[in-house]
Amino acid sequence: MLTVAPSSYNDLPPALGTLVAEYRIPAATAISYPVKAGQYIQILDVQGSQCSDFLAFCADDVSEELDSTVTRTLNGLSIPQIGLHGKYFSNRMRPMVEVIQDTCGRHDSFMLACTSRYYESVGYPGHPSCSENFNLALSDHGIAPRMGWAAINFFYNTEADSSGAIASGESWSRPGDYVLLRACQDLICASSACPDDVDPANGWFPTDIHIRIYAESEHFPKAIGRRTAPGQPLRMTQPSAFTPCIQRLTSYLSEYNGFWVPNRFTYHGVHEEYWALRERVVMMDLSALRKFEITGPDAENLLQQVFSRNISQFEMGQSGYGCLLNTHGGMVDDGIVFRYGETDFRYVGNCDSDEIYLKAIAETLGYTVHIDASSSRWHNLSVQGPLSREMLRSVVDLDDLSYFRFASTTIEQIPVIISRTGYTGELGYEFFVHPRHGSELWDKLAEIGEKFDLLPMGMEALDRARIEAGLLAPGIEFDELTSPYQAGIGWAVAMKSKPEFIGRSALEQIKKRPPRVAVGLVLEGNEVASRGNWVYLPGDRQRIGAVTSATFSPILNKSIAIAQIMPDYSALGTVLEVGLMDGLKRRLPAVVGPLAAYDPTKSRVRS
Amino acid sequence: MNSIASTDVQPSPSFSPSTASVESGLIDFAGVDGLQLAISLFGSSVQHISPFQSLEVSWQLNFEESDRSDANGSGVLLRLCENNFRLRHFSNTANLIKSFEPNLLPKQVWMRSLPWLGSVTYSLSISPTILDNLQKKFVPTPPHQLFNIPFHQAAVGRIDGQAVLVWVYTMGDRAVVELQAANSHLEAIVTSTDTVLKHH
Repeated sequence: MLTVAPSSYNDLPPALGTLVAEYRIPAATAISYPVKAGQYIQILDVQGSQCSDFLAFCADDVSEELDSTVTRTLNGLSIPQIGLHGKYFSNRMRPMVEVIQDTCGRHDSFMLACTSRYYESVGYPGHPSCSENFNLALSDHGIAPRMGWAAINFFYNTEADSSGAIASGESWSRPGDYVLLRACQDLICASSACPDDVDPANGWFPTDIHIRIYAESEHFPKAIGRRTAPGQPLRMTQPSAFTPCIQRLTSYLSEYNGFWVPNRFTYHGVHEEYWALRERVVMMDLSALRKFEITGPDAENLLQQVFSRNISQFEMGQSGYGCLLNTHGGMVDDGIVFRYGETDFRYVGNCDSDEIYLKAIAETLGYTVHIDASSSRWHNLSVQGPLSREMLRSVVDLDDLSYFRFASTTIEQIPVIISRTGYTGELGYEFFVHPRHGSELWDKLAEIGEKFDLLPMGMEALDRARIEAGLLAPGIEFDELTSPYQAGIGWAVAMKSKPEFIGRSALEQIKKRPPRVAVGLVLEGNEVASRGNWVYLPGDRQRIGAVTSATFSPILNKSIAIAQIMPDYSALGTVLEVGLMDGLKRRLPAVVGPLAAYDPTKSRVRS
Repeated sequence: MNSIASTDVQPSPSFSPSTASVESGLIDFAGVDGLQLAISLFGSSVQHISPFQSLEVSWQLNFEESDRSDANGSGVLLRLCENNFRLRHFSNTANLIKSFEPNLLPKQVWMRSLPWLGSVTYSLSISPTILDNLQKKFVPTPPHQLFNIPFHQAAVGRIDGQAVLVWVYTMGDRAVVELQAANSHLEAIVTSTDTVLKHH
């Protein structure tokens, strides 16, 4: 095997591993190159905003080639996503390459590589095109030329909207962004550095693409690179402390909020896991939550300003659910504040960017407070279900731990923070543990749970449970443009007991008449609505709101939804309609109910 | 659930294409109200199984003329999706569908015996090596797998490039591995599978 000297290019991030070959594709050209099964192909955007179209052929038989339509169909996705649905397939439905890493996250699988015809149509006859460049590059392999190649267009920013239009714009990629693929068979590949300088696709200035081929002996973890804020470094998807234990039980993991999380478990599945939660006890990894230590003389002052609840009323060992607010009354995030001491708090939310927000507010207000992102030191495991207390009693004294209280303790010498909180609508507990004890804690709890028939639970079952319980999902039920009154957690705004906090004046106005309010809906029949389905008055064509989440509730045996609707129609018992498909073809009668269709009085979590 | 790897086993599996038998068959039903039909026929326990899990079921149908032999029966119900089910039954398929028909209305469900779907069953009272050996031929479609598959679980994949659903279940004291495939592929799959089984 040819081993190539370390990369001499100084305009690139370091190589990821042992190089077998590397190629620089000058702007507006294309090359072909061989790749052996198991080897890795890294396609790098050298200067940013540069598209690179990609073709692959089976080396043994070039009539078998990468097929974007087959790929979309088999994955059920417009572009493969790293994980179970991360492979590109051939016209014979065999895997050709698998995506291992991706730091851009925006590519195209719908459009041809650019063609002469496109350039002609916009007044540039004779302009070089990726398709023509591919024809040249592939001619040595006996591959016949085509007017247009149905390529995978990496870094090409396109989006198909619900009207059918495919819009395109400047690539999202930054300098050094890359896609890492693993070849599933011996391949002849072709890559381009797109010559398009007549529209924004390449930022108007085509630049180079770089290809690195790594040895099959390498092992690169699957990861998606995400940026949480401008100027922040890439964050690659990470395993939690419990992931090794989870991977013994399922291979079906997906990226969620920067972590690999299980969707469902082998030989169990969404329904069995769901019923284990509602009838017995389950365990799940919620380490994707973000943790921040907020300490110092002004820690309480900061939280009083930025968090919706009145935390001065919290006792030591007490926690409370609420949201971080912005000045116009929007929800920056939702989460729980834990009070450890007079000047010592932990905030558990969803976003890395909360740290930036909290620090900015502290600085603006001149507070003396230290904000420390501690997500890497605290991973968390949730044990939920009506038997959770009974199960845990053998290893920890829970009798004094009431709802939204927490304590520091040990479980068989493993130091943990145990908190009586959850996200399921059931009695339950959450364990915060240092990652070095994660596997040990998982195994211990699994062992204790055996006689209670404990099951691990994945995200699919969790989503059903949280919708039944009327619990909000970030980015679905709220964002920074949504007020807590609209999202359905107006009760978590300490309007009466806190005379001053960020967003208060805006919320005073919003509270009088929120543009929409969150309600639960119980639909007639068994069809399940979808996020974005419009809500109407019966027989009326005017929309009054939209569904944010929907599911079929096994325990209620009903189709339910969370919707945000105009407040005029939010009274319990109001009959509305949910429009399926185009909103005209079929409408399902739906009755307004409490946000939590299941146990709306929260008697189970408080029991 | 118990893992079949722990069951007592005997050699010499046998197979009998179910399509050749009038005393056993498969009935599929699906639709928006598929789950509700399953509940009405077999009880609320069907809600507890996930797709590709199954359970033993029995039914008692109310007939004004109560001389119908299939008014009471039992079988094994495989869930394929939220509202899609497949029943392995041990009576006459056409008669049974007729017997179930009154329960279909006004539900939005179709019910039929899929004419292209064949099956072959292997007695598992016998040997865990049936599955061990099947694994040598079976290429599961992720995230499905056969390794340590418990009773009342199915997995989809391919044998010699042909689509197969492998289903492991119990019916009374019988333990069964059932392969389901297109009739046009079944013979080749059976031959291939049988060859592997006989050579081990």
